[in-house]
Amino acid sequence: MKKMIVFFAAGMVLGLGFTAWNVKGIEASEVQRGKDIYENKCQMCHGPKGNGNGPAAAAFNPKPASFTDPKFWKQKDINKIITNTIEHGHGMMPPMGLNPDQIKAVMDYIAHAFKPGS
Amino acid sequence: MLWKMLRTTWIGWVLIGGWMLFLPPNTHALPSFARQTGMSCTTCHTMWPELTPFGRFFKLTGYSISKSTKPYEFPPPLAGLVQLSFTHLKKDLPRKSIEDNWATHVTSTDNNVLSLPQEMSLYYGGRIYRHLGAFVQGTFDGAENDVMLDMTDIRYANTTTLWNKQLIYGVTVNNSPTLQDVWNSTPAFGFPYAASPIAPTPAASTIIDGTLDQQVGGMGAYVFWNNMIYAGGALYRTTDHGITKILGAGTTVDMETDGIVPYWRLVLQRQWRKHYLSLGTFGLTADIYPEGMHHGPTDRFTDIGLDTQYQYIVKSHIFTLHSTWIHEYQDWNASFDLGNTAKKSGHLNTFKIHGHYTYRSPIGDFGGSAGFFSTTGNKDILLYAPGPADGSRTGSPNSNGLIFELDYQRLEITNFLSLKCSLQYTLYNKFNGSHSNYDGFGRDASDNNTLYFLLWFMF
Repeated sequence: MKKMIVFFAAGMVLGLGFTAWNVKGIEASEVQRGKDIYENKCQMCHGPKGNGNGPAAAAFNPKPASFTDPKFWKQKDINKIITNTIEHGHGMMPPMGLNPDQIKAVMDYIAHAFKPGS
Repeated sequence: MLWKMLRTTWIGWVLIGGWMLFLPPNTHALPSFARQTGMSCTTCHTMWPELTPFGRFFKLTGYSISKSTKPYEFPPPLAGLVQLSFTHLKKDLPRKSIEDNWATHVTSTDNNVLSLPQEMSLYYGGRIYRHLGAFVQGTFDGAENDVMLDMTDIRYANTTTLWNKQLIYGVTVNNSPTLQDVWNSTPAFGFPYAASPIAPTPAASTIIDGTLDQQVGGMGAYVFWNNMIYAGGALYRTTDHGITKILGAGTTVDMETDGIVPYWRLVLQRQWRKHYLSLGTFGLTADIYPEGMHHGPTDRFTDIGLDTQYQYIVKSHIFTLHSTWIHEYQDWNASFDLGNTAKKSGHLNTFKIHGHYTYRSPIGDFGGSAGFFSTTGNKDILLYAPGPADGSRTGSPNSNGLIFELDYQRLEITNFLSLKCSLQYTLYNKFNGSHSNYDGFGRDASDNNTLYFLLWFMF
């Protein structure tokens, strides 16, 4: 009986550890996926540093959003705003043609990479 | 035999189209502008070649926006185009009026024509160095069986500020008035974006509406302030000889201009949320020798145009409306003395309005268009003389009708291929002055009704 409990507990620990490692691996790959999408689709205007100063942004009026600006993240329902803008476009920014998984990946990336305090 | 070929070809096109419908979309960018920026074609285009606000911005900034940190593109931004088409006229044209060659296949009744290809083009499309970019097209024209330098626009653009607002400024060398324009409500990139190479068209058109394409070359400059006001101009001269000759390479100059041809453009635009509206004016003045002449007196044409464009763009739905009106004042100073016109002066008015809806789906973009066109002008029995199929019994140039089009567009099928299919129907109410027997030889306006199917490959 004791052996069974120890065996079961060891299995639980190993299983949880494996799951945690796997989740971390999945999260890392999701961030990488978001980074790939950002570099391919967003960086041109929003810049490699997320400050709205990409190569195409010089003549934009208004400028592309800066993800390093705390005011950007303080907007009400910011996640909804970002999703809506990526889906439908806003001003000079056209709809980006991303599916929901891709939108989530790139949102996770910009929050991870550029949000002040992240 | 042609019908057998046509049936086989149709089956092939349907199979190709079916295969392409079910290919998964590829997020890699192409052709050359998309490859250069890393962005999808739909970033710049609604239903190709119509531009989005970002597409207009890309062109205004000299085709030079790039994902590369280098000052040049490598490999060079090259692209290509192949157009295959089928034309059906309601009534056959006079015998042998269409030249049958290896690319143009005519049935025995002269009202069905396969153009394989209608056109093949190679492009340099993108950045040359830093802020210098180009859109240069070399074309094989299947109907003419000829090779030529086609649309050419080489431009330098940069940005600064004026009164604390962004200012884009640029210079352009090009070979077609309105080619440098970024709106789809001016002739060079206006609707219809493709048309049958052999169908009859009304006898009269304004000089600015394609007549001077590659017949002139020149240089212009423009500014675009605060994403609101655009002002530009250009000076053209003939490509028959001199410094601009290269811009007409491969083109026979049969409309030689005398001296400088000034062109102007002014646009006011406004973007709010998902809506876009522009109002503009454009025009030019040209002194042109009568056809076949290269010296002596000239005729003078002054064209003034008004245009407007509205766009509504969201994720899956796009609606566009274009309208263009051009007034041309004609001074037949030279042609009247030669006996080519009955009057010393005349006028021409053209009006077009076109609406288009596009639905973006995971398997491609589906769209439909409806347009109305009208040409009116003064009668001139010598200028618009009777003649089989292309003449006027009454001496009037008046024509009008409707164009309907269905489109399917599948961009970025693979890394190197995009496709657009169009089915277009042009319906004439009046042609060269009359509804019936317009040419004096028994042909009615509706006899020129045209069904046109186009496969447009881009790579």
